Amino acid sequence: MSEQVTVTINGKEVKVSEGTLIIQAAKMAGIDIPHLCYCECLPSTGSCRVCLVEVEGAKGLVASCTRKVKNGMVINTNTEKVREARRFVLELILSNHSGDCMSCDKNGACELQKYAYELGIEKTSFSMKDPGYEIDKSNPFIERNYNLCILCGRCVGICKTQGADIIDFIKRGMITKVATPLDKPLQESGCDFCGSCLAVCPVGALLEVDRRFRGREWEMEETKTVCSYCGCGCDLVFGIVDGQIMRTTGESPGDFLCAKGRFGWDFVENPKRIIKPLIKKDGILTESTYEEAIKFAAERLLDIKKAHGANSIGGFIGAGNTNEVAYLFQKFLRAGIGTNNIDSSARLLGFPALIDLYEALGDGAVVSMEDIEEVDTLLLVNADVTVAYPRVGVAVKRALSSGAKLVVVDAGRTKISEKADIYIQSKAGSDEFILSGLLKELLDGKVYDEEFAKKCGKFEDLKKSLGKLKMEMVEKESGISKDVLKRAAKLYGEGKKTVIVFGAETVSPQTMELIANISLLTGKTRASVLPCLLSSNLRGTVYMGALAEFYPGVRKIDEARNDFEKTWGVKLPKKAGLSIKEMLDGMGSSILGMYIVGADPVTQFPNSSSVAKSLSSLDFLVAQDTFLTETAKLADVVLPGITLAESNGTIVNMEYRTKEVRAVIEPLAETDWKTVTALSKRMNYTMGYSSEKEIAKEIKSLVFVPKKIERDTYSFILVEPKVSGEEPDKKYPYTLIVGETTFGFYDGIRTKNSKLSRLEPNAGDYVIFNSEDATSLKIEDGCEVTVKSRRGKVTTSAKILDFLPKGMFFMPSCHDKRGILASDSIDSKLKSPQHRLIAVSISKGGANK
Amino acid sequence: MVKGKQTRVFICTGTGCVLSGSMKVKAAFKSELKKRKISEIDIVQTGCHGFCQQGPIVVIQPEGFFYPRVSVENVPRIVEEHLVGGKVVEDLLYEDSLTNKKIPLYKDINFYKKQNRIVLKNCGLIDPEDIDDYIEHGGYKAFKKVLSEMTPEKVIEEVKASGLRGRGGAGFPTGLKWDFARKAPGDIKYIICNADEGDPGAFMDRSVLEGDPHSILEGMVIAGYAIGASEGYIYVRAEYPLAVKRLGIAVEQAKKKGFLGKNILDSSFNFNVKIKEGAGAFVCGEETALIASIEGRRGMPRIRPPFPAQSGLWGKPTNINNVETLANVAWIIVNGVDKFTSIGTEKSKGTKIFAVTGKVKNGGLVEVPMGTTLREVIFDICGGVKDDKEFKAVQIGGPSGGCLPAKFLDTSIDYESLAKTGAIVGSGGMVVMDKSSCMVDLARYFLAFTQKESCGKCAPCRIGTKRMLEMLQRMTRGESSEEEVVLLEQLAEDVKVSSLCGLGQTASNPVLTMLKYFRKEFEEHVKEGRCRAGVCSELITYVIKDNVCKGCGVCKKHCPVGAIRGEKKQPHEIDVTKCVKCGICMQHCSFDAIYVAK
Repeated sequence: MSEQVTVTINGKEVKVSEGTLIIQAAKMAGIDIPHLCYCECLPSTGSCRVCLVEVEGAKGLVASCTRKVKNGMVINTNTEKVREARRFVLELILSNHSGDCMSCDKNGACELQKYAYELGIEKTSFSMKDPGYEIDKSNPFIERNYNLCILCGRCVGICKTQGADIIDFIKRGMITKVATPLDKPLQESGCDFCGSCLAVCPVGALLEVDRRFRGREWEMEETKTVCSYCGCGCDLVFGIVDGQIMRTTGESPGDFLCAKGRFGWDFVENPKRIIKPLIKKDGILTESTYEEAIKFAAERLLDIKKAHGANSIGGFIGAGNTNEVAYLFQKFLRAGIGTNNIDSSARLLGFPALIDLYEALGDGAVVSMEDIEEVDTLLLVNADVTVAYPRVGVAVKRALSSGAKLVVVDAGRTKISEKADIYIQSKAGSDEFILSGLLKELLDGKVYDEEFAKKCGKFEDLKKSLGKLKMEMVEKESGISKDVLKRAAKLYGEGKKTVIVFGAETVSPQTMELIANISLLTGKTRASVLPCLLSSNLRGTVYMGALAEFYPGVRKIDEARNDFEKTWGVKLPKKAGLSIKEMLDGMGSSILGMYIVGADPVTQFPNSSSVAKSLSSLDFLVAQDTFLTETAKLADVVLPGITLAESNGTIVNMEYRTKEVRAVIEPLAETDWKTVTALSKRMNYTMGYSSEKEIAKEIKSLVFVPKKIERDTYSFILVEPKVSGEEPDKKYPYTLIVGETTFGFYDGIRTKNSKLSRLEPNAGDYVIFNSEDATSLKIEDGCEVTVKSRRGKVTTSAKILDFLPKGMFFMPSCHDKRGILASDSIDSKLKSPQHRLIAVSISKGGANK
Repeated sequence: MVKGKQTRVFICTGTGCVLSGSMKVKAAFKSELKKRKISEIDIVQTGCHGFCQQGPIVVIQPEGFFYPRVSVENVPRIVEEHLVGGKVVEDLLYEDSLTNKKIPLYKDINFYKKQNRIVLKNCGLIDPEDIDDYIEHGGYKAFKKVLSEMTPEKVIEEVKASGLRGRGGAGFPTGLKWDFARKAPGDIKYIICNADEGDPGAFMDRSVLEGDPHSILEGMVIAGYAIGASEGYIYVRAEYPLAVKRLGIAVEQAKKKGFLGKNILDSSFNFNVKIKEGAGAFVCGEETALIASIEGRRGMPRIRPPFPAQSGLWGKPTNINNVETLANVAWIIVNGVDKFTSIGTEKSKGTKIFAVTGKVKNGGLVEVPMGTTLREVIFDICGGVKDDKEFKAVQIGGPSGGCLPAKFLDTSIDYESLAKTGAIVGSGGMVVMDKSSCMVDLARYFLAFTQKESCGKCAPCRIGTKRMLEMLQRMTRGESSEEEVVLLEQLAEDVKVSSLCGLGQTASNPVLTMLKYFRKEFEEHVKEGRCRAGVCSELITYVIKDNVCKGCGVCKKHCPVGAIRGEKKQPHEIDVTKCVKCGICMQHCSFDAIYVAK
């Protein structure tokens, strides 16, 4: 800790650390120094000249946002001289600020207005000039009114530190303005639309387009909840006016939100939402009453249970529901219906990696975003952090700006790879070779923690097996030279505080094991990983036991049955449950009834044509969702679901933080937990909860609290590297990678029903070609192409972008037909399909050709 | 008789002379000599002589015969009569403006006689594109001495003792600056030469860059050795293409000769120089903006501290010196501290170059010892006010400087004395004015420049200079008030104290000094709607004197807007509703029949 110094501010003595800025020291003393360009989350620029103060002995007035305190400094923040200088600067700024406070959305929240009032400026002494700019409305989300802009530079600063770094000042003198390169619209300049600029603007120059004239700050009722998109689980503060969502922000101006968090919430209010139950009559889904639908669904499921036994029914739940709903869901199936046939989309989204990680390292190795900001060396494996898990992306950027080193392993030339010290653009599916090669180079280069590695099990075996590894084979399979791996190993191995960040849904179980090995080899004190999760409550869904293999608390079925029988007061099924793939395979024969909540397996699960076929062969399907998904269309009964923004409860994010979810608006339909309990009650199992709080209480008191479990013994895992994903052959010579995009999200159901679709108008309906393949296949940008796999074919359009190496193609995961192509073959251990790497053939033109 | 091998024709190829046709003169000499099959006489292109008003300048060496304003037509005569005939061409020689006597030799010209050329010593006398010529004139001697005999500390000590101060404007002691950079912790350090000369009317750096580039390189390597840097940047305006070209040649030649590169002259000292072209922003002359620009960022100043000596280019300790400062260094090392400190005043040592322009007889570059008076520069060296009109004022230090009336003519030119008057030494621009200059209009002119060149970062400079400019524009139109004059003064003071960088902090200087010394003129504009200089077009009318006009019709013919009517041989008349006050009629009248009514 730095030394404490004493300074006198307005006659008051204050003790602060050396190096504190005067403005911060004053704040600690309870003195607010007016400021416009300064923002706590940004480096100071000292440009607005409003925060000027008098420092005894200093020449002239001093900008308090840039001058650091010194021991014995005597500072006066509110003398007449200071006020006069501030008044002068504010008058100048006002003379060029032609807005009318009467109709400004920032009225009451505008910092310029606030200080002008405080300093008693009625009007500027200078002639008022309207800069006469046109308001920039060229993009769908952010409106920039140059006439109100005071050129404080906060937007420029925050775009550099956590945005896409695309805006800066252009021109000089009075015609200086903030713009993108060549003053192009944001969407043509690589803007990620994180909207960080909106949050820091002190005046009305930057506003959410949809917010204009719909409510001023003081009219907003604000509720804090959690974002429903990826597993970062960022805090969102919803601003509500008259029961309608006006905007979202973070808790403080510098809190990062991504485009989805900031602009992607309005699917909640989309008129296409299902708010009334539907019952299929003569093949047509027809509106019914809630009572009727519950009664009908319960009766049909009871019929099936009676005729074919409890194990002829299965359940599937999305990984984006609250802990409370996930807990109820599995309890209903296990204790109510009497089956362990429970699965969730967690199985498709990285659950296997989490289980493996848990076994190899224990959860204690999982770090937080704040931890990431502190490391000096990062290894990113298949983690397109700025796109798929944007808050992690910001943590990585912050680490880099403090001088951290970065190694990126990714087939795709991601935005973060541009900032890498070493970028390893390996062939898709060759991760196991790359990581094995890195392990070998860490060992051979002696850049590892020998003392700790020796204490881990199988260290000698690991050395032996790596001794046999041929680097030539690694080079051949990955396309990366061993020199690059040597350099990467040296860079990573020499780091003092390191972390491995990877996309949990993108890595194979063996890759996960290799990551654990690297982590152990480089030392326990440095063993830290962050598995990035795509789903908002993947951890919670797993911990709540919404999986065939585990009861709540990740307790194995056969080991914990007695405990849960006691807890729930019922006999529980002994038979092991089926995973979703096994259920799909058994549909029409052993599985006859399904209850699916908040998930769309037809779109999400690979080989979707066969999924649809399987679901159609069921005797009875109940789907509970917010939109009429492809799965819901096949259902006999559709029950309305609600979004996270209408729910109360908790989720667990990728960092193991349990976060509180609060309903920000009145739910548009019956809440999910009530629907599950209603269905359960109708099926003669009364759970008797009166609120989400009671469910939470039961989880907390009877079951467990999600927490990291530290481990004291470790062991290396011997891995024989293999190519992961589907093997290309002569007929299907290329590899298609399915991944995330900035404005689309997973199955696309939310993004395409939100205003984000304005930026991704054709809902990810394209395939990315690199220019080399485009030339050899004679494909032009935008032309129609057919992608064919062993399961089916999809016609889409081509987009030419040098993102992947030759022979590899990219399809957005929000493409609604990508499931047709993917393989649903599963590994034996964790029954999860590796559906993100698909062997395909590609031809020009439509599917009929 | 053809003169011997030692005869050389020096043709100035500085920008001023090039513009007045020296390249054509050079070609004419070449072809003339070829025609006469004379191969013994070398033609040497040199840098600027500083006497730009007299360009193109041709000097015949070794005697130093000086031919001003040489045209292509004059060349055969110079060759025939002087080079071949051995007889000076009398009528082409320079004529002294005071005595009207012909002066054959360079050294006897008043303009040069009273100067003391340290920085400009080689300009016009050597071929700037030939390192050997520089070496022959004592070049790189200082560097060799430094490298073989002196420790870095000793070099800094010498520079400190010499009292050399920054010639870019602020006058900070150079040795102290070097000492800060040397003592700043860090392995990697940089030297930057600030060659972003941007003051309107100032061209001394340009002349040194074009005329003696090696003197700057030598200063840089010595500075690099002293502070412990192994890399240097020259940040030079792209608008100086000849300077960029010659610097490039100089760097290449210095590398070949082993004055730049690794293990220079078999020592362990490494030093390289990169040339970075600026993109034309005045503010990039400010050191932190300059650094940002080299780093590829927008050229905007940042708050100091940290000073570049602690955290400069790429965050490393960096020493920035102006061209003229660096060009002094080698001279000090070779000639010694005592010789340098014998020149100048107690606190301002050595010489300073001024670019004298405006209403002066012999404008150009003048290098004088610090302590010389304004009168000596303007009257003794530059020959006084053009057309022997009355001296009105001198603007010193460009758009950041001040404007001084006649009562300050005996002020000594040094940092302290000038600062007392409200002006500054600045980069050394000096604009001389007679009665035909309007002070309000001049204040408007300088402010229009700084306003346009404000980087836009801080509010006082960005908006304050604009509001000042608007006030001055209203004053020149007679639309202002006495209250506004008071507000202008207050605004100028406020901008001065609250701006972020030097540009804003000094932008008010011209306005403030003009208000201080010429307030009456401002009052005349706003109270009486009168411009005594007859410059502010909205406050004047052009009138034809009935009794003088001969009705020749020349004015009518030249009027671009058809505002003049009148019959042939009858007095003409100007239609004030049509007149745009361009003054063309007055310029063309042979009878002085047109005057400006103020």
